[in-house]
Amino acid sequence: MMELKLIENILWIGMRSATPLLLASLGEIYAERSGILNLGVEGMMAMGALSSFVASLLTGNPWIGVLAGLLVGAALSLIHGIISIHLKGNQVVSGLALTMFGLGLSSVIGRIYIGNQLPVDARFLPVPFKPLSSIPLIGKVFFEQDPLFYMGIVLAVVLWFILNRTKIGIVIRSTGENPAAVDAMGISVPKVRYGATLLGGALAGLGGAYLSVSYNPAWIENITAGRGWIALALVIFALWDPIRALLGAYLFGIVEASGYTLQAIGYSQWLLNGLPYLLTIVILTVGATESMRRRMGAPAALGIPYEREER
Amino acid sequence: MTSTQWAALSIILLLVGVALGYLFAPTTTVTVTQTKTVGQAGQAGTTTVTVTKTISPEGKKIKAAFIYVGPIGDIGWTYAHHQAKEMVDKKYDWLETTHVESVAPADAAGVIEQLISQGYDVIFTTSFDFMDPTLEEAKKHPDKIFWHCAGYKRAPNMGTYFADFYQIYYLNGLMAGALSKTKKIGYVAAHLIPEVVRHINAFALGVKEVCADCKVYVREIGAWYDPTKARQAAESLISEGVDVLAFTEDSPAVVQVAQEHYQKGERVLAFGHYSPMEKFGKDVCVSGQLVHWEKIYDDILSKIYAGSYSTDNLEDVDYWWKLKEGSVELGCTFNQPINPKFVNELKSVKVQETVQLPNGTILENPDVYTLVMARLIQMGAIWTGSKWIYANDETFDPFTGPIYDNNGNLKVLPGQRIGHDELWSMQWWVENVVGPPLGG
Amino acid sequence: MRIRAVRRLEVSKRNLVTVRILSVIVALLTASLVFLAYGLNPLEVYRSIFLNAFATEIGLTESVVRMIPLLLVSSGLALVFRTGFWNIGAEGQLLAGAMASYLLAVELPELSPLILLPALFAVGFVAGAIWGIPPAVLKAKLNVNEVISTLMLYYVLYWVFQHLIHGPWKAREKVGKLTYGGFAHTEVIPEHSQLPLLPGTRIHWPTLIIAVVASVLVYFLLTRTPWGYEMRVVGSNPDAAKAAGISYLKAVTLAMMVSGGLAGLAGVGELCGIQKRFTPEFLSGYGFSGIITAWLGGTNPISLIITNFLYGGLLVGGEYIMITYRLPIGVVDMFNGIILFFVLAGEFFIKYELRREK
Repeated sequence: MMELKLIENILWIGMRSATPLLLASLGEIYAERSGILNLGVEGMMAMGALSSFVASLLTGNPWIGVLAGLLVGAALSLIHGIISIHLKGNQVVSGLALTMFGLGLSSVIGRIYIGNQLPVDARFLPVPFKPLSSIPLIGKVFFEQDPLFYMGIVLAVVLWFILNRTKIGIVIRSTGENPAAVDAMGISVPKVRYGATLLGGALAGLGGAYLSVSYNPAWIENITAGRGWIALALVIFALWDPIRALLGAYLFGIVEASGYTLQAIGYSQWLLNGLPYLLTIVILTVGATESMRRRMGAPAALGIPYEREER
Repeated sequence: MTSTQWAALSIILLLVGVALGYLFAPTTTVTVTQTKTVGQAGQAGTTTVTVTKTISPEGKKIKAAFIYVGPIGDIGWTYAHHQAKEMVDKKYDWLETTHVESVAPADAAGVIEQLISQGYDVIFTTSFDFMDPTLEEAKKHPDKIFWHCAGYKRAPNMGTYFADFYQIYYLNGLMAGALSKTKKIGYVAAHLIPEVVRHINAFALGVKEVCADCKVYVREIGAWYDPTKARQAAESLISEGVDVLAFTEDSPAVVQVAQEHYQKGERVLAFGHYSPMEKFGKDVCVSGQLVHWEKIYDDILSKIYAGSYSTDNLEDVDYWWKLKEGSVELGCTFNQPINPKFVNELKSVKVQETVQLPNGTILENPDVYTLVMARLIQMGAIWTGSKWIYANDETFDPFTGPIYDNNGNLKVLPGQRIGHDELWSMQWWVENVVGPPLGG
Repeated sequence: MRIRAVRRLEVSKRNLVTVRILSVIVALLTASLVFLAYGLNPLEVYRSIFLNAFATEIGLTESVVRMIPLLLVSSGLALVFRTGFWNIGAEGQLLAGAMASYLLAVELPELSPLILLPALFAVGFVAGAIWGIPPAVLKAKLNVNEVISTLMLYYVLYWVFQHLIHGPWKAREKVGKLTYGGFAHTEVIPEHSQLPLLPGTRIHWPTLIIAVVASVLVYFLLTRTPWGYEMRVVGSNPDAAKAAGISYLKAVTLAMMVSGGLAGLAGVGELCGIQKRFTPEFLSGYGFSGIITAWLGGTNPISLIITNFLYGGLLVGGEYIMITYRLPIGVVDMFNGIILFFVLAGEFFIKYELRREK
């Protein structure tokens, strides 16, 4: 029984701590699918975390906090959008600049709130759905979580559906593959890309909100501690697919969480930390064989500004 | 304005400032007690020299700079140093301070150069990883004073300092042993370096004294600051049956985890670390360790001001301050060594042993609450019920033999104490610790 | 009437310099708001940043110290970027170089520095180059996105590195009569393996010379050799390159070997010239900052040297404003971010001109 409970808890902890990675990577998948590479996830997450923390603290309502995180994340991504889309600037550099700017701004504003904690009713807590939550192994994992956890799962499914089964999805994917064709259809490439970029920013902000309003309901500087970069790795690990991002995020989280049990029997936690990245490279290599290429979804026009041919 | 004009203007302003300072500076007399911990092989001896000096009115201003490894907002290590620096800065009008945060070890020497070029003459480097660059800069600038925190290298113009928690961890261990129902106690560790290892061992010795068959389970997260990982480690320990948690990590995540479990009706208790964390776990935070770097900074800077520390006599000066100097405090919040919610429970657990206080009082089979208070007295910090009083006297040390390691080897002979130097290289677990293997 | 952006056929030097300067000025004006919020006079702040980064002896030498790794990393990156390949894992290649030189430095006996120092740099170059090859091959053979593969390889090496210094490479250290162990750091490399410094500074001059020479060689390689020609064609017009029978694999792999190798040299300089041992915080981000300076500076050595020197000064100036105005580190990050945003925006006006249409 002890082992079962242990495994249940590893799953529970792993999947909980994977939620911010999932949310941020879902957004980035849309941005990248439309052709916009935004390396500023870490900065947007940090600002999302701060703004949702502050909004929850001031209003006492975590949902207002979530809204603030979404809006601020989107606002920051707008800077990246303008530079990448309208000004056709370098997306790698702009993303790095966005990370610096976001982390810096969150640290400066956050100084006022250092050490503040959210009161219980201003944060999300995992709530057990009884009696489902007492099902062995999976009960706690799926029926004792906070609202944002479920939102992550729902978003992954919905975003997968939109991307793969709707016209909007086709337009977004085509914009990332062959923007000229989209343009020829009379659809505005910049509009699609702005939309995807803003969604990416909003969801990165939501990922940050999860950290500060649910997971660690206190403001501490550098609360993201590099998780924005892991989310970027996850996008590739998932081969730009929302459902695979869901599974990948949980895999990343569970590998991390099981590390604490494995280290007790002598495994190097440092090497375990590197494992997800190694897996990503392996997946990239194995998954990149010619037959897989078509399913892989690596957007052909990723990171390339769209220029209308001069006529 | 040209830069020459700017320079001229600054010099004029500076001169005016100096003149005004000269006219209005107060006359002060400072009595200084100099404590030297001289590192000798195996044993740390302490010599005390009392110097009384009259500080003349022209007493110069001291410009001290602090180099931090992390951001001030970490609520942990850097935050505590910064708070202490601000307190000392406010206290003395002869003192001017500045700080640089989030400095990488690679840049430390460069930052020190900049500070010196701007006239700072006392440099504090507050991270172990700054050790080599600080020593290099100390050799390069023999006319400046350097202080390095948590390291082991010194020079005539470079001293070391540290506020050590191991006595407090031991006291926390006593309480943890009394409060654990599952006889499994968890410890979330940042890095398993000697400092953390000795803290865990001291904690485990305390646990063992009260609960002979309790075990301490250790998880290393590999970061000084990472609330996400700390939370994962704490949850994973709880799922293995642990019901009391102690930790070394700079965020309140572990205390928050315990509080969340409490609210779900599961009794998980925690001990705070570094800064007051009671507000993060009012129902679960039993006690913990708090730091007062300002006591050390105050002492060092006053002695530099009084002239008893200079650029040629710091080779053997190593502040290794503990309870009796007041540089560390027991409690989850200031001025409350034990959360009142747990006092009755602690009073209900008796320990089979005899304790003799410095004044000769003998306690037979004391309860854990009394034992904690008695050990505090034996280690030179007396809690009167409303404030702390310090006695420069240590009649007890947690690391007194017999102590076995977790492979059953006798590491410390009965009656012997582990000296300062061995504690500084400690890389083995005491017998009731279940932890990852430690390398050389 | 509407305004339309038209791509300029030719980028004039004068236009480039004017736009760059203008965008920095606009950026500084915007960043002024931050300083005003702290009750500081922005002009005064800028004046003192500038004077202390470039006009004092300490500022100047420290800016050069920061410039050395940046110049090495960005020379290589500028080259590989010209092939259209985005290597953002230079930090990992830098680490690979440093780790290889460490293994050699602690093993080698005291030899003439004329043998020892070239050997250290050579293994550093080779290690960095090796760490740079897989992404190039993966991209050429399997079309694996290089932004990700280079970043992932950095993370893999980073955790292997952490494993080594917390385990197998952990070293005891003798100080006086005592030996201290258990700390997460490696041995200090022996004195004879340490790079010589310009007296009174932290400038490890051998690396500085190598960096300057490398930036010139890269330019020469790109503009005066057949390999460089192939790289340029591959970067500017992959289809034409294919038609002309130019091997993408060869061009990109060669560029990545140079890029990784130069980053590796930067790692050797950081270890043997500055830090002398590994600590968990060995890396300070030069591999990432180099992406920015490579992009800003391009392949021209003079422009690269100036860009990296200015960027080094920006880092030193950032420390200066923390010291003098006690501003939080976040202000420095924001400041750097804002400057980059505006320089990026300015690029638009270098590449395009706005035309009114009736």
